[in-house]
Amino acid sequence: MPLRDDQIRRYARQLVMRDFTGAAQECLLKSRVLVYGEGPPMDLCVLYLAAAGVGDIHLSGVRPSVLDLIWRAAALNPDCRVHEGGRGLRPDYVIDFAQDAGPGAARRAAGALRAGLPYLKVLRAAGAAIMKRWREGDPCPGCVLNAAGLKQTDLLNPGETSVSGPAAAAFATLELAGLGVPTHNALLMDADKGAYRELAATPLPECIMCAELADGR
Amino acid sequence: MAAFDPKEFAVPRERARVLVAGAGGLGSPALAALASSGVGVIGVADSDVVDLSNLHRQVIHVTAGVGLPKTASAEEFLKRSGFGGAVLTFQTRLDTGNIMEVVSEFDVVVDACDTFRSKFMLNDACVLAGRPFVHAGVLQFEGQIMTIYPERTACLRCLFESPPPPGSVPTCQEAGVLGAAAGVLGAIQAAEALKVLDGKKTTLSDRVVAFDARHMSFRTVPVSRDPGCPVCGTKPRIDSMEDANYPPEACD
Ligand SMILES: [Zn+2]
Ligand SMILES: [Zn+2]
Repeated sequence: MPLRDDQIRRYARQLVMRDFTGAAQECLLKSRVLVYGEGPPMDLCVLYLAAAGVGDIHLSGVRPSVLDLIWRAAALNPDCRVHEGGRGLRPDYVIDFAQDAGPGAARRAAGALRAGLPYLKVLRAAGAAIMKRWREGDPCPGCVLNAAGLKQTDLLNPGETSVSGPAAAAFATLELAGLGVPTHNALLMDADKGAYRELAATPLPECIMCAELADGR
Repeated sequence: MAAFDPKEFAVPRERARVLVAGAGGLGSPALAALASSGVGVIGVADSDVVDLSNLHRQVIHVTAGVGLPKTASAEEFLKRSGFGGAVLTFQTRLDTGNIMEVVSEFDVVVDACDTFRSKFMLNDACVLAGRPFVHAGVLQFEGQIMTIYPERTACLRCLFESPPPPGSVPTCQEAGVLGAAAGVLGAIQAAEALKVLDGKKTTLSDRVVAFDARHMSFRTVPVSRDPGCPVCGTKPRIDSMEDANYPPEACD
């Protein structure tokens, strides 16, 4: 479906960019994103996805302020519909903000990879955020957390940085618009320490979750 | 340069006054993050009204607010977000006549404006008023950020003596911007402003962090003060706000 006049005006500043074609915008408008987790960065991520023109966003996970977020996204961009719950959904993209680097996260990653879906994971700990787009053979979320020098218990104290929200939205928007996968490297965004860089992560020997993820195809 | 203690610029959160200069692509994520930070006062300066073409990146505004002043829309957002402090709005163009007075009211300034002219004006006003500030710029898929402690760490003019000639660099309107890329920079700006208020040593001062969303990569470049800097050097040429130092933008 060609873009309406009001859509051409709304998305003008992204449509003017080379590569960000009308077809790319139409891809975004047709796309369905499933988002796990909660928290301020996740809210911000949803708003950026909505603003860019993602068609449907499904929120999985229990959160008290869900109605407020749904209202905000609709008020920002009526082209985007935000739904509560994602059961039975066949999304085009999965973004996982759940503060979990254990078996649950490994299972979600494996499930997405098995279904051939892009899976982008965000973890926050002690004022830092780690973001990674998973692919087959990658270490599990727990091992990536470990590579950043962080432990599972650090996830209980995420700190107040919100940079992972727009970062995840930028990543997903580019990929959904057909502009490619920005990177498969894990990214460390440590706002507290002022460190922003790639993270070299390798599977810990005998990690059960890594093995599970490797079997996930 | 002698080391300095960032605690010099620390202010308790509940008493802290933060100015966000610009309620657009950078200001939106900065304000969203500051709303829950517990600062005492948030100032918002912007002379524009909300336009439909803003909404792909300026996520604090809403479609029903198209045509409203961005300052009013931003204030509405802060209230709705449960921000408990005071909001000061400046629905005016910051210029050489009023900028010193405005920035002097605040403890830290977030440069979220969208023209080189405004950025250099803000740089000079903050240096002259002795206010720390957080610079950022974004275009297309890329942006950069640096925190400046006046006369302690490198300022914008230590790196670039003057704004680029009008027309030599495309504007956001001409070149476009990925909304969420502005989101990344603005969110980092808010984190930096809070670190300044907390007196932390880990701010992005004397270094520029460049971000490229297309490759999701960050690059950190160390920089340092220039003794010949026209505003913070040993013999500064700029010691007050004069229009001659800020050539008008091509398509203002
Ligand atoms: Zn592992
Ligand atoms: Zn300087």
